[in-house]
Amino acid sequence: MIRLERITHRFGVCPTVLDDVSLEVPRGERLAIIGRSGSGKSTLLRCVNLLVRPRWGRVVVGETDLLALDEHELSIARRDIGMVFQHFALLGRKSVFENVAFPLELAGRSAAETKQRVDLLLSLVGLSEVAHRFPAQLSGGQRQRVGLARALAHEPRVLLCDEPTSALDAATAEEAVALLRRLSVELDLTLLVVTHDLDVARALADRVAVIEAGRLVETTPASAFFSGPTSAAGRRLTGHGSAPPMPFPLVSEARSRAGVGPSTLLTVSLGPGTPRGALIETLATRFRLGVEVVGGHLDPVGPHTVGQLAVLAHGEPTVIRQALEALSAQHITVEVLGHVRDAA
Amino acid sequence: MSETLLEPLLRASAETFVMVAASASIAIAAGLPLAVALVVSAPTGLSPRPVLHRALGLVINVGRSTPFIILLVAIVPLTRWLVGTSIGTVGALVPLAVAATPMTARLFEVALSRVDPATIEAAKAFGASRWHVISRVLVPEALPSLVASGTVMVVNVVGASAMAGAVGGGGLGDLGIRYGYQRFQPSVMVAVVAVLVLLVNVIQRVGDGLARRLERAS
Repeated sequence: MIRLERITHRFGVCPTVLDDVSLEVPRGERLAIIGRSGSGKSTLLRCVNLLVRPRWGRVVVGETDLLALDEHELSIARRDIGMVFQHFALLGRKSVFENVAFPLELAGRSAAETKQRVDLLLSLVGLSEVAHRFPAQLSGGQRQRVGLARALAHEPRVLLCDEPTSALDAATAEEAVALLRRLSVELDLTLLVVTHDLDVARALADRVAVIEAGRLVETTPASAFFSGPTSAAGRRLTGHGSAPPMPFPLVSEARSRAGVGPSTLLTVSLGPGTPRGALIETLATRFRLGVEVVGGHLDPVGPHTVGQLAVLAHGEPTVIRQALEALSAQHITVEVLGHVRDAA
Repeated sequence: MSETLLEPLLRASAETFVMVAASASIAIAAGLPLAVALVVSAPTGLSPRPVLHRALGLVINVGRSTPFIILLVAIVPLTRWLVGTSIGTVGALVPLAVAATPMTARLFEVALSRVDPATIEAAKAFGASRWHVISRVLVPEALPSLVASGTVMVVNVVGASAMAGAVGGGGLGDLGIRYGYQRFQPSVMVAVVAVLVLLVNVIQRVGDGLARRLERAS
């Protein structure tokens, strides 16, 4: 659906903003583009509808090579690409209705056709009651929904979202993400979401692309990404690699040579491939070890639960070794940090 | 106030009103396109044209830095060629409009450049042509501040129109100088100033009210 080939861009004489970025997004996919501020992720998003015209590279949306179009052809091609903005970008002197009608008016649709479409869009985002209010009279969440309805005016196949939740409070952001998710399914949208909020990426994305200093350093399916990013930049963003929160005295004891004892301190990484319940079932039921979870964090990603746990296993060293082998056979990554005296 | 004073005062007020209304209208009609050109051609504008932008800016600055009293005299040939005379209400109209236009352009430029760039970006993303962006987003969104700036300009033109009296431009300034100053009639001077104070206040009130009503929508 979207093909970006070797996109390279800089503004004026500034250092390169985007450096040889190639990215393909199949129809119906929801892709989150994450990265730190200034990494170039918003610029990359703007290359898809040529709000930023890259110095080099190719931008293909559907079957159309956008860089080959003249101004008029481009304005028509852009109707197929909706966009939601960080600060909503609503017209302050137009009502909610007029804001949503704006793209249709630009395209020269008749008043009757426009009214019908806008009424439908406003009911889709739950704003029919406030159609005649002005943006300043709405809450942040409502404004973002106006922006979303406006972006969907021409029934686009692609929806670009630039930090759609960063101007919203946490609860409203969650609602906005749920709405985006529902509409992307109902309307079969190809979704590109630029965000620095990992929760948004987690709740929305099928795949995650990581941009660092203008380079695409990783594109990974979301479930795999959140259990362990492959790039250093990805790990920095998700906080992987730093140890899961666990009792510090235990860790230092396990890591010191003095640490000897019947309990083994493990970190266990649960990925999307981990069979549900396999960890406890293997350690406690099959090998009859004492199991104590002493730290860690877990996240739901789609149907999976991923993350890292710090676990104390109590039992015979040989049994523990056998149990760990059984775990790795089930694709559960285990790292032995060391041994400690009984926690009790 | 004597009967004999009232009649010239009314006539002079009417002349001033006509001068200000006509020259301010011309200044708005010429200043708005200039302001749009300035904003659009700016380095970060809708279609950057740095050379045009700087050239326009220079011309406007020259216009703005020339003292009105000098401009008044300097463009007498232009005035004669345009309206056939360089004196009276009609003769004062041309220099007033010429002086007010660059000021209007700058004031409107500020008003237009305050429009949220994100709304312009959004309009482009939804398939607006350059002309659409100007006519449907840039100018309409800036309307309240355009009206507020226009009010400042009109009040300025009222002041300048009184100066035009010095070269036989007609209107309240003319009356004040001829009767009040040259004929030593301070009562006329006071009456002229009172009318001007009233006029400026009315203009400011109307402008503020209009700007607020336009703003209320947002």
